[in-house]
Amino acid sequence: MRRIPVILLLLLCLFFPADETCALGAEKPWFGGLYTGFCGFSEQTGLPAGEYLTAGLFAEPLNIPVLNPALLCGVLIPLSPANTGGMRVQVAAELTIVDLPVSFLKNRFYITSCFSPGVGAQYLFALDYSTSAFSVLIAPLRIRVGDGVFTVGSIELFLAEGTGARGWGFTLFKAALFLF
Amino acid sequence: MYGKYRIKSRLVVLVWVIILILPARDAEAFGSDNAASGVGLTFSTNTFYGSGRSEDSPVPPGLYYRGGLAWLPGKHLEIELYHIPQITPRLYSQVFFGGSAGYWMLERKENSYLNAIVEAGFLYGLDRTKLLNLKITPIVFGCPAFRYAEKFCTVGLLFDLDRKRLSWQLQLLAVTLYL
Repeated sequence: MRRIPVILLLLLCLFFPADETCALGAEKPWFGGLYTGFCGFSEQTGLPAGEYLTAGLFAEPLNIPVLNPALLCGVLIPLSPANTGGMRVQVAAELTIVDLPVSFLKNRFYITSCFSPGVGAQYLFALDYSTSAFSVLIAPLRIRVGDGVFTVGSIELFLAEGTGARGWGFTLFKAALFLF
Repeated sequence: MYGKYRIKSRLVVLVWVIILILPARDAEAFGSDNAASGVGLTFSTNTFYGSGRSEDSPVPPGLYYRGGLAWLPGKHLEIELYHIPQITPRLYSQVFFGGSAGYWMLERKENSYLNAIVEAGFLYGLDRTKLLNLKITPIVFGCPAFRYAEKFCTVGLLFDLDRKRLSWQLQLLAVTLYL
Protein backbone atom coordinates (compact mmCIF):
# COMPACT_ATOMS: atom_id res chain seq x y z
CA MET A 1 0.00 0.00 0.00
CA ARG A 2 2.82 2.41 0.86
CA ARG A 3 4.24 2.04 -2.64
CA ILE A 4 1.10 3.39 -4.31
CA PRO A 5 1.94 7.12 -3.83
CA VAL A 6 5.47 6.54 -5.15
CA ILE A 7 4.13 4.70 -8.21
CA LEU A 8 1.59 7.47 -8.81
CA LEU A 9 4.35 10.06 -8.60
CA LEU A 10 6.52 8.17 -11.07
CA LEU A 11 3.57 7.87 -13.47
CA LEU A 12 2.99 11.62 -13.21
CA CYS A 13 6.66 12.20 -14.05
CA LEU A 14 6.28 10.03 -17.14
CA PHE A 15 3.17 11.87 -18.32
CA PHE A 16 4.55 15.34 -17.66
CA PRO A 17 8.22 15.44 -18.65
CA ALA A 18 10.39 18.19 -17.19
CA ASP A 19 10.58 20.48 -20.22
CA GLU A 20 6.79 20.81 -20.40
CA THR A 21 6.08 21.19 -16.73
CA CYS A 22 8.05 24.25 -15.73
CA ALA A 23 5.93 27.39 -15.83
CA LEU A 24 8.95 29.65 -15.58
CA GLY A 25 10.28 28.97 -19.05
CA ALA A 26 13.10 26.88 -20.40
CA GLU A 27 15.84 29.18 -19.01
CA LYS A 28 14.51 28.89 -15.43
CA PRO A 29 15.94 32.28 -14.52
CA TRP A 30 14.59 32.56 -11.00
CA PHE A 31 16.08 31.63 -7.66
CA GLY A 32 13.77 33.29 -5.15
CA GLY A 33 11.71 36.29 -4.22
CA LEU A 34 9.15 37.75 -1.85
CA TYR A 35 6.00 36.21 -0.47
CA THR A 36 3.03 37.69 1.30
CA GLY A 37 -0.33 36.35 2.43
CA PHE A 38 -3.20 36.44 4.87
CA CYS A 39 -3.87 33.80 7.50
CA GLY A 40 -5.56 33.06 10.82
CA PHE A 41 -5.44 30.46 13.56
CA SER A 42 -7.87 28.47 15.67
CA GLU A 43 -8.20 29.07 19.41
CA GLN A 44 -6.30 25.91 20.39
CA THR A 45 -3.06 27.17 18.83
CA GLY A 46 -2.75 29.83 21.53
CA LEU A 47 -2.25 32.60 18.98
CA PRO A 48 -4.49 35.65 19.52
CA ALA A 49 -7.65 35.66 17.39
CA GLY A 50 -7.29 37.93 14.42
CA GLU A 51 -6.14 38.28 10.88
CA TYR A 52 -2.42 37.91 10.26
CA LEU A 53 -0.22 39.16 7.47
CA THR A 54 2.62 36.86 6.60
CA ALA A 55 5.54 38.24 4.60
CA GLY A 56 9.14 37.35 3.90
CA LEU A 57 11.67 35.93 1.51
CA PHE A 58 11.73 32.56 -0.17
CA ALA A 59 14.23 30.59 -2.20
CA GLU A 60 13.56 27.80 -4.65
CA PRO A 61 17.11 26.74 -5.50
CA LEU A 62 16.31 23.62 -7.51
CA ASN A 63 13.92 24.08 -10.38
CA ILE A 64 12.79 20.52 -10.70
CA PRO A 65 9.34 19.43 -11.88
CA VAL A 66 8.71 16.91 -9.10
CA LEU A 67 9.30 17.31 -5.35
CA ASN A 68 10.71 20.78 -5.83
CA PRO A 69 11.84 22.19 -2.45
CA ALA A 70 11.52 25.79 -1.27
CA LEU A 71 12.69 27.55 1.89
CA LEU A 72 10.82 30.47 3.42
CA CYS A 73 11.75 32.89 6.17
CA GLY A 74 9.55 35.74 7.30
CA VAL A 75 7.31 37.24 9.93
CA LEU A 76 3.72 36.84 10.99
CA ILE A 77 2.16 40.19 11.85
CA PRO A 78 -1.30 40.54 13.46
CA LEU A 79 -3.23 42.96 11.22
CA SER A 80 -6.56 43.11 12.95
CA PRO A 81 -6.53 43.65 15.85
CA ALA A 82 -2.97 44.99 15.71
CA ASN A 83 -1.25 43.22 18.58
CA THR A 84 2.51 42.98 18.86
CA GLY A 85 2.12 40.02 21.25
CA GLY A 86 0.97 37.91 18.35
CA MET A 87 4.00 38.64 16.18
CA ARG A 88 6.00 35.54 15.23
CA VAL A 89 9.05 34.67 13.18
CA GLN A 90 8.29 32.06 10.56
CA VAL A 91 10.73 29.53 9.14
CA ALA A 92 9.26 27.04 6.70
CA ALA A 93 10.17 24.43 4.14
CA GLU A 94 7.79 23.54 1.34
CA LEU A 95 7.78 20.84 -1.26
CA THR A 96 5.94 21.27 -4.54
CA ILE A 97 4.78 17.74 -5.23
CA VAL A 98 4.43 18.14 -8.97
CA ASP A 99 3.85 20.87 -11.57
CA LEU A 100 0.96 19.85 -13.81
CA PRO A 101 0.32 22.17 -16.78
CA VAL A 102 -3.29 23.31 -16.95
CA SER A 103 -3.88 24.47 -20.49
CA PHE A 104 -7.45 25.68 -20.00
CA LEU A 105 -6.29 28.39 -17.59
CA LYS A 106 -4.45 30.03 -20.50
CA ASN A 107 -7.82 31.49 -21.53
CA ARG A 108 -7.91 33.20 -18.14
CA PHE A 109 -4.30 34.21 -17.48
CA TYR A 110 -2.91 34.27 -21.08
CA ILE A 111 0.31 32.54 -20.00
CA THR A 112 1.18 28.96 -19.16
CA SER A 113 0.11 27.96 -15.69
CA CYS A 114 0.70 24.86 -13.63
CA PHE A 115 -1.31 23.24 -10.89
CA SER A 116 1.33 22.81 -8.17
CA PRO A 117 0.02 21.27 -4.95
CA GLY A 118 2.45 21.36 -2.08
CA VAL A 119 3.16 20.18 1.44
CA GLY A 120 5.54 21.51 4.04
CA ALA A 121 6.42 22.23 7.62
CA GLN A 122 6.89 25.45 9.50
CA TYR A 123 8.30 26.59 12.80
CA LEU A 124 6.89 29.70 14.45
CA PHE A 125 8.49 31.41 17.41
CA ALA A 126 7.97 34.64 19.33
CA LEU A 127 10.59 37.38 19.00
CA ASP A 128 11.71 36.76 22.61
CA TYR A 129 11.62 32.94 22.16
CA SER A 130 9.00 32.73 24.95
CA THR A 131 6.77 30.50 22.86
CA SER A 132 7.09 28.39 19.74
CA ALA A 133 4.97 26.09 17.62
CA PHE A 134 5.48 23.55 14.89
CA SER A 135 2.98 22.88 12.14
CA VAL A 136 2.64 20.91 8.94
CA LEU A 137 1.26 22.58 5.80
CA ILE A 138 -1.05 21.21 3.16
CA ALA A 139 -1.59 23.39 0.10
CA PRO A 140 -3.84 21.56 -2.36
CA LEU A 141 -4.78 24.66 -4.39
CA ARG A 142 -1.55 26.19 -5.63
CA ILE A 143 -1.05 27.62 -9.09
CA ARG A 144 2.21 28.64 -10.69
CA VAL A 145 1.54 31.41 -13.17
CA GLY A 146 4.36 33.23 -14.91
CA ASP A 147 6.76 34.51 -12.26
CA GLY A 148 4.49 33.81 -9.30
CA VAL A 149 3.12 31.00 -7.20
CA PHE A 150 -0.36 31.63 -5.83
CA THR A 151 -1.86 29.60 -3.01
CA VAL A 152 -5.52 29.65 -2.05
CA GLY A 153 -6.87 28.02 1.07
CA SER A 154 -3.95 26.12 2.53
CA ILE A 155 -4.27 24.40 5.90
CA GLU A 156 -1.78 24.20 8.75
CA LEU A 157 -2.03 21.54 11.43
CA PHE A 158 -0.28 22.50 14.65
CA LEU A 159 1.34 19.62 16.47
CA ALA A 160 1.50 19.31 20.23
CA GLU A 161 4.52 17.86 21.98
CA GLY A 162 3.91 14.16 22.24
CA THR A 163 0.98 13.09 20.15
CA GLY A 164 -1.96 14.68 18.44
CA ALA A 165 -2.83 18.01 16.93
CA ARG A 166 -3.04 21.30 18.77
CA GLY A 167 -5.28 23.33 16.54
CA TRP A 168 -5.15 24.51 12.99
CA GLY A 169 -4.44 27.51 10.87
CA PHE A 170 -5.74 28.64 7.51
CA THR A 171 -4.00 30.70 4.86
CA LEU A 172 -6.61 32.45 2.78
CA PHE A 173 -4.28 33.63 0.06
CA LYS A 174 -0.54 33.68 -0.45
CA ALA A 175 1.39 35.15 -3.35
CA ALA A 176 5.05 34.32 -3.88
CA LEU A 177 6.66 36.45 -6.56
CA PHE A 178 10.05 35.61 -8.02
CA LEU A 179 12.30 38.64 -8.01
CA PHE A 180 15.88 37.40 -8.21
CA MET B 1 -26.63 17.04 10.76
CA TYR B 2 -24.45 14.84 8.56
CA GLY B 3 -26.72 15.45 5.58
CA LYS B 4 -26.41 19.21 6.08
CA TYR B 5 -22.61 19.04 5.90
CA ARG B 6 -22.81 16.76 2.87
CA ILE B 7 -24.98 19.32 1.06
CA LYS B 8 -22.54 22.08 2.08
CA SER B 9 -19.55 20.15 0.79
CA ARG B 10 -21.36 19.38 -2.48
CA LEU B 11 -22.10 23.08 -2.92
CA VAL B 12 -18.43 23.92 -2.40
CA VAL B 13 -17.44 21.29 -4.99
CA LEU B 14 -20.05 22.68 -7.42
CA VAL B 15 -18.68 26.21 -7.05
CA TRP B 16 -15.13 25.00 -7.74
CA VAL B 17 -16.31 23.04 -10.77
CA ILE B 18 -17.94 26.19 -12.14
CA ILE B 19 -14.79 28.23 -11.51
CA LEU B 20 -12.50 25.70 -13.15
CA ILE B 21 -14.65 24.51 -16.03
CA LEU B 22 -16.19 27.71 -17.34
CA PRO B 23 -12.86 29.38 -18.18
CA ALA B 24 -12.10 26.38 -20.36
CA ARG B 25 -14.57 27.58 -22.94
CA ASP B 26 -12.65 28.15 -26.14
CA ALA B 27 -13.47 31.82 -26.44
CA GLU B 28 -11.35 34.70 -27.59
CA ALA B 29 -11.11 37.35 -24.95
CA PHE B 30 -10.93 40.50 -26.99
CA GLY B 31 -13.47 41.95 -29.34
CA SER B 32 -15.25 38.66 -29.79
CA ASP B 33 -18.91 37.81 -29.56
CA ASN B 34 -17.85 34.99 -27.25
CA ALA B 35 -16.15 37.34 -24.77
CA ALA B 36 -17.03 37.06 -21.10
CA SER B 37 -20.37 38.28 -19.84
CA GLY B 38 -20.76 40.99 -17.23
CA VAL B 39 -21.42 38.43 -14.51
CA GLY B 40 -18.57 37.21 -12.36
CA LEU B 41 -17.55 35.37 -9.24
CA THR B 42 -15.76 37.60 -6.81
CA PHE B 43 -13.35 36.69 -4.01
CA SER B 44 -11.41 38.93 -1.70
CA THR B 45 -9.57 39.29 1.54
CA ASN B 46 -11.52 41.22 4.15
CA THR B 47 -10.13 42.91 7.23
CA PHE B 48 -12.34 44.63 9.80
CA TYR B 49 -10.91 47.32 12.06
CA GLY B 50 -12.62 48.74 15.14
CA SER B 51 -12.57 52.51 15.44
CA GLY B 52 -11.10 52.44 18.94
CA ARG B 53 -11.15 49.80 21.67
CA SER B 54 -11.60 46.26 20.39
CA GLU B 55 -14.89 45.86 22.32
CA ASP B 56 -16.26 48.76 20.26
CA SER B 57 -15.89 46.78 17.06
CA PRO B 58 -19.17 45.36 15.73
CA VAL B 59 -17.25 42.43 14.32
CA PRO B 60 -15.46 39.75 16.38
CA PRO B 61 -11.72 39.50 15.57
CA GLY B 62 -10.65 36.80 13.16
CA LEU B 63 -9.81 35.90 9.61
CA TYR B 64 -12.62 36.66 7.16
CA TYR B 65 -12.98 36.26 3.46
CA ARG B 66 -15.51 37.67 1.07
CA GLY B 67 -17.08 35.74 -1.78
CA GLY B 68 -20.04 36.46 -4.02
CA LEU B 69 -21.43 37.40 -7.36
CA ALA B 70 -20.87 40.58 -9.33
CA TRP B 71 -22.95 41.93 -12.20
CA LEU B 72 -21.94 44.82 -14.42
CA PRO B 73 -24.95 46.35 -16.18
CA GLY B 74 -24.19 49.24 -18.53
CA LYS B 75 -20.94 51.17 -18.74
CA HIS B 76 -20.43 52.25 -15.12
CA LEU B 77 -22.58 50.27 -12.68
CA GLU B 78 -21.64 47.23 -10.63
CA ILE B 79 -24.03 45.27 -8.43
CA GLU B 80 -22.59 42.77 -5.95
CA LEU B 81 -24.14 40.20 -3.63
CA TYR B 82 -21.75 38.51 -1.25
CA HIS B 83 -21.16 36.86 2.07
CA ILE B 84 -18.31 37.36 4.52
CA PRO B 85 -17.81 34.32 6.78
CA GLN B 86 -15.38 34.09 9.65
CA ILE B 87 -12.79 31.38 9.05
CA THR B 88 -10.71 31.59 12.21
CA PRO B 89 -10.69 31.30 15.18
CA ARG B 90 -14.04 29.49 14.76
CA LEU B 91 -15.21 28.50 11.31
CA TYR B 92 -18.51 30.17 10.33
CA SER B 93 -19.17 31.41 13.88
CA GLN B 94 -20.07 34.76 12.31
CA VAL B 95 -21.29 35.39 8.78
CA PHE B 96 -22.27 38.65 7.14
CA PHE B 97 -24.49 38.80 4.09
CA GLY B 98 -24.31 41.92 2.03
CA GLY B 99 -24.97 43.75 -1.16
CA SER B 100 -23.52 46.81 -2.78
CA ALA B 101 -23.93 49.11 -5.74
CA GLY B 102 -20.76 50.45 -7.24
CA TYR B 103 -19.87 53.07 -9.82
CA TRP B 104 -16.84 52.57 -12.04
CA MET B 105 -15.37 56.06 -12.34
CA LEU B 106 -14.17 55.65 -15.92
CA GLU B 107 -16.46 54.29 -18.59
CA ARG B 108 -15.91 50.58 -19.24
CA LYS B 109 -14.84 50.49 -22.87
CA GLU B 110 -14.04 47.32 -24.73
CA ASN B 111 -10.36 47.14 -23.80
CA SER B 112 -10.16 49.63 -20.93
CA TYR B 113 -7.84 48.29 -18.26
CA LEU B 114 -7.47 50.81 -15.43
CA ASN B 115 -10.33 52.09 -13.32
CA ALA B 116 -11.51 53.09 -9.83
CA ILE B 117 -14.76 52.33 -8.03
CA VAL B 118 -16.91 53.95 -5.36
CA GLU B 119 -19.52 51.75 -3.68
CA ALA B 120 -22.35 51.93 -1.18
CA GLY B 121 -23.86 48.88 0.45
CA PHE B 122 -25.04 47.10 3.54
CA LEU B 123 -24.00 44.12 5.67
CA TYR B 124 -26.28 41.99 7.82
CA GLY B 125 -24.73 39.61 10.34
CA LEU B 126 -26.10 36.35 11.70
CA ASP B 127 -26.15 38.02 15.13
CA ARG B 128 -28.39 40.73 13.59
CA THR B 129 -25.62 43.29 13.35
CA LYS B 130 -26.62 45.81 10.71
CA LEU B 131 -23.91 47.82 9.01
CA LEU B 132 -23.96 50.45 6.29
CA ASN B 133 -20.96 50.50 4.08
CA LEU B 134 -19.18 53.10 1.92
CA LYS B 135 -16.14 51.96 -0.02
CA ILE B 136 -13.59 53.29 -2.44
CA THR B 137 -11.31 51.18 -4.61
CA PRO B 138 -8.53 53.37 -6.03
CA ILE B 139 -6.97 50.74 -8.30
CA VAL B 140 -8.85 48.34 -10.57
CA PHE B 141 -7.04 46.38 -13.26
CA GLY B 142 -9.09 44.56 -15.90
CA CYS B 143 -12.73 44.38 -16.91
CA PRO B 144 -15.05 41.76 -18.47
CA ALA B 145 -13.18 42.00 -21.79
CA PHE B 146 -10.12 40.63 -19.99
CA ARG B 147 -12.35 38.14 -18.16
CA TYR B 148 -11.01 39.25 -14.81
CA ALA B 149 -10.73 42.33 -12.63
CA GLU B 150 -8.27 42.81 -9.80
CA LYS B 151 -9.12 45.40 -7.19
CA PHE B 152 -6.44 46.68 -4.83
CA CYS B 153 -6.54 48.55 -1.53
CA THR B 154 -10.30 48.93 -1.11
CA VAL B 155 -11.02 51.02 1.97
CA GLY B 156 -14.49 51.03 3.51
CA LEU B 157 -16.27 52.93 6.23
CA LEU B 158 -18.80 50.91 8.23
CA PHE B 159 -21.59 52.41 10.30
CA ASP B 160 -23.19 50.22 12.95
CA LEU B 161 -26.88 51.15 12.88
CA ASP B 162 -27.65 49.80 16.38
CA ARG B 163 -24.64 51.09 18.30
CA LYS B 164 -24.16 54.19 16.18
CA ARG B 165 -20.43 53.58 15.82
CA LEU B 166 -18.02 53.80 12.94
CA SER B 167 -15.44 51.20 12.03
CA TRP B 168 -13.25 50.39 9.04
CA GLN B 169 -12.98 47.70 6.45
CA LEU B 170 -9.98 46.94 4.26
CA GLN B 171 -9.90 44.64 1.25
CA LEU B 172 -6.32 44.58 0.08
CA LEU B 173 -6.95 42.29 -2.85
CA ALA B 174 -10.14 41.29 -4.63
CA VAL B 175 -10.38 39.20 -7.78
CA THR B 176 -13.44 38.90 -10.00
CA LEU B 177 -13.51 36.16 -12.61
CA TYR B 178 -16.11 36.91 -15.29
CA LEU B 179 -17.99 33.95 -16.65
